[in-house]
Amino acid sequence: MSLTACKNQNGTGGNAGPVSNSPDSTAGTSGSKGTGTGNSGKADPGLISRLNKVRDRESRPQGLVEPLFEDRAPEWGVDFSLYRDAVKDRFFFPEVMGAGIAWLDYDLDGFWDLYLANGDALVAASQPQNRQHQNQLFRNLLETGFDAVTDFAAPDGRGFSQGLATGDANRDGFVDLFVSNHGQNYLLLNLGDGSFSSQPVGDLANEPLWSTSCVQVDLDQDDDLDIVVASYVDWTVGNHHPCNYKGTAGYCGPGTYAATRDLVYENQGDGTYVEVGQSAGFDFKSKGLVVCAADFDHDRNPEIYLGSDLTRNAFYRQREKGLKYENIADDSGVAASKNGLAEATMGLAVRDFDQNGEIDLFLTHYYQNKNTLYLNQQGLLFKDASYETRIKNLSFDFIGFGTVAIDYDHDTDFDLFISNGHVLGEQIPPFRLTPQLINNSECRFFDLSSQSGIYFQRKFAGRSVASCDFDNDGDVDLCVGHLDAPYALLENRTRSGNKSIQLQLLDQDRQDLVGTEVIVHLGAEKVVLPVVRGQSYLSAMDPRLHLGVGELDAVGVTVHWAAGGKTEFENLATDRTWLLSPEGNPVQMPGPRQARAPAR
Amino acid sequence: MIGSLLVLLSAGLVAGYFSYRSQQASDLSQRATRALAKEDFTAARVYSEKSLEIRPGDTNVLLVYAEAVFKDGNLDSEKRVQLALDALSRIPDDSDEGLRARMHEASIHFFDQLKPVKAERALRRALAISTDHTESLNSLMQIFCCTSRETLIEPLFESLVQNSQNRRQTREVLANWFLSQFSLGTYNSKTDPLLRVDGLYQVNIPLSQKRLLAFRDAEPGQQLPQVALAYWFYIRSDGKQAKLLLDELTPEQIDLSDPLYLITAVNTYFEVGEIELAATLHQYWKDETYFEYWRQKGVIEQDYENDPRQAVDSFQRALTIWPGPIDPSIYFRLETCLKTIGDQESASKYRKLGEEMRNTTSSERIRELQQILLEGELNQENCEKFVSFYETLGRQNEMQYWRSLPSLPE
Repeated sequence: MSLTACKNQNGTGGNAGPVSNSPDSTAGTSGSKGTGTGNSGKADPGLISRLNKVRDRESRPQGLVEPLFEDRAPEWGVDFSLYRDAVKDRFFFPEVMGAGIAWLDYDLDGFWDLYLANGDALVAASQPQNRQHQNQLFRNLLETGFDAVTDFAAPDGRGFSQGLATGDANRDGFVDLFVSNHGQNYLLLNLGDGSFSSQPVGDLANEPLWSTSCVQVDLDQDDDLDIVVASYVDWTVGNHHPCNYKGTAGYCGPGTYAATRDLVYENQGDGTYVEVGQSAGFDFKSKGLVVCAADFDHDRNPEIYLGSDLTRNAFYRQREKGLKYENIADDSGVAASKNGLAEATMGLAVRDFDQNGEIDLFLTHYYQNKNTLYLNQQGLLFKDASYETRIKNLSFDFIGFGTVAIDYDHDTDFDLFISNGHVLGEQIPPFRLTPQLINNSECRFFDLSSQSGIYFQRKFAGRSVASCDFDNDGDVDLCVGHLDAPYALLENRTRSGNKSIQLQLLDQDRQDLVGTEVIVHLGAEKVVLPVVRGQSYLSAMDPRLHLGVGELDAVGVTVHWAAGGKTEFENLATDRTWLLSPEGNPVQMPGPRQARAPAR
Repeated sequence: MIGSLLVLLSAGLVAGYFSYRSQQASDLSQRATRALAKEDFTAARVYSEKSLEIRPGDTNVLLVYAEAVFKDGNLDSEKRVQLALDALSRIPDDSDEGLRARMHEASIHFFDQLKPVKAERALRRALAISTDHTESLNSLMQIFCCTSRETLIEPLFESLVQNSQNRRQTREVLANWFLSQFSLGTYNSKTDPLLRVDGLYQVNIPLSQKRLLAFRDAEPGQQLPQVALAYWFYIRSDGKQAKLLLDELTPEQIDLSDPLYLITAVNTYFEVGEIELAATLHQYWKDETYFEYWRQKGVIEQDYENDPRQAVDSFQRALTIWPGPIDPSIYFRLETCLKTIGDQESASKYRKLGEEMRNTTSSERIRELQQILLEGELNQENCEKFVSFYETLGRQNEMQYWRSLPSLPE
């Protein structure tokens, strides 16, 4: 276990001593410029040793725990392939963007259920809707796996669905689902009897057509959940055209279509919503694909980060009480890379990667570019640390979509899973790419995909991913969406020998827990776990906070509640899931159990 | 008396013989020159060969012979190159033909043998003979641009423009300078067909990569072509491939006095996360006159030493050295550093400058100017467009050159 931060990676000494230039260098390139002081220009032993070390260095440090994730979707009864209305040689843009995944405990049995967004006919009249094109709900029965309950529980999940956001929209104690569409957005209200009813949200006539990632968050601290929705581009069937890539037709990218404004639906508290994006300060036009809500500055209120595909990212901070926000992305250094480039942001993972107590941002980007890691330097000021952390080095050959930060090996630092896949079309390789499992070793990242299991040897047109300990065995599992293959349910079977703890938070006085900050005390060291909503890509995670704790049998936890006040929890046994509330009586939740798939 | 007469007669005969031979050599030399002019290379080769049998050190004939033998299709290619280079090597630098010999050597090494290191060595000897030799300077610029060193040619440009005799020459130098800095592919497209590398390697490899692969394969073990290829990958963000190529250099092959090596190695190792090595290597820079020295110093101070104040100084120095001003990343890094130290006002200023620089050097803007160079008339109006362009970049010299171009003698 190591808690060494990467905020100052100053070297391990060893200045080998400069060597001067050679005035007669055969490879000299200096034109008429100075040619140095006459030394040999040859590398001295100190430098040679360093060069050799780097040359011979294995691709990763010794001693990293090898991950093992196995696709157990069939065993667990999750049989789902995305319907995306792909028609050969048509290249409708939404066909290639995937759809969301949400983990939610809709029946409050302590086992997390799975909701999968699905596509539909993009030209409404071309195909009748049928159940093949519905969004799908899988109830987690644990003992017997997942049960497909869509017809009974949630038959109204229709349309060309994109993003999913969980939250108790009507404060009845049951989690509801917001579904964004290429088309009319709607809310699936959990009726508490095991079923959902659908309610349209927003006025499609006056809003952008293509909504993507979304998040339910209390923006104005009125104790109900508002909804922030990223909007992509102004693509419609009417303005559609394919693009030509050196003579081969394929899907156009975001550069071809105009940016649109993002949406904020204010919860009126009476079951209705009013779109207030402009007046709330969300007036920056973006090509938004991903959104998250988290408290980045410890003021107990949410900031909203909105990742955009080839336009500058937005970062909204509450300017004054109520729905008054301002975009501070430029001032915070998270609008563009440190070279000033607006990158093609698809996915987002939000965690304290360098363990300095501040929440960082990891963004997935386009092929033969770089993914970006913005490290939070405090005070809402970030630094693009993609190079020194090796993030850039691991991303050149990939185009990332969904991504999640998970501590797969329970060593207390957050590793990364990335779902990769290209966007131009099957006929323009590489369309399929391998997913990545990246280990965080003291804020230097190493790709362990080749050792992570068979799933990582296969290529997919990967899109969404959402994390959840769906088997309640104390480690984090994944559901991954593909365009070209059934969805995968990746069970974490890593054998690290380390322990973990999971924390579920409940505050009767505050509906929204964004702003609540959990500090886990690991002996003399501590790890900050923020409450984050949204992130990844179009998806909603298991909201339980999970952390590896090494070999510790018990840990202390301090919770700073968003509503104010803090609660100390001492000696919480590890390898358990605890329900924590401001009252201070921790309640042990179902599980953990030994990982195993149910017999089917 | 008779003895003296015999001596005189013998001397006369010898003198006569040598005079005859000399005449014969001259005749042969002239025939060789005429044959060369008629592109009868075999005849030129034979005549010059015979002439050299008489006068082996005749540098003029050696030059004719070298050209004839190199172009003589009746010889196999390996042999003709070897014979030509042998002949040229016999022409000393201080002879009247020294300059042309070195130029010819450079041409064979570069265009025929695809050996930029040897070509550059020959050109540097030519420039030692005549510092301002325009053709050598142009050729050197060509080689630099073909070996990933376009950021290092400002001194060559300045020498060339100072030595230009008339409007046509000046225009060509200014056009080449513009293209080399803002549209390298266009600039190199004049050279690449002459290198005949298109048919080499896999079909789908870009021509610029094929060229560098060919250089590397023609001069294995040489640092320059290996690093030039690594730079090609680095500049395309493929740090992993660049690192693999740098890793192939043995310590004995590494020349730390070569700016291209330091530029590529420091940047590449930084990109792939080997930041300690990058910082160590940067200490081997001895020449602070390069923009990359200051840019890299700033990057290391910003990202490795967490010293944004110091980084601001370094980045500001980098902006004063070409091509620093046209690297938008420096402005944006300055913005970040200044924000970190709480100087929001200056940070905003540099962000604006970075955005302006990105617009000024946008592909649309460059294409527009390039079109003028390729097709347009260089009248006052068009020259003013370049003046205005360079004014945005703060480049007084170029502004002046472009402004005075229409009034230069034809």
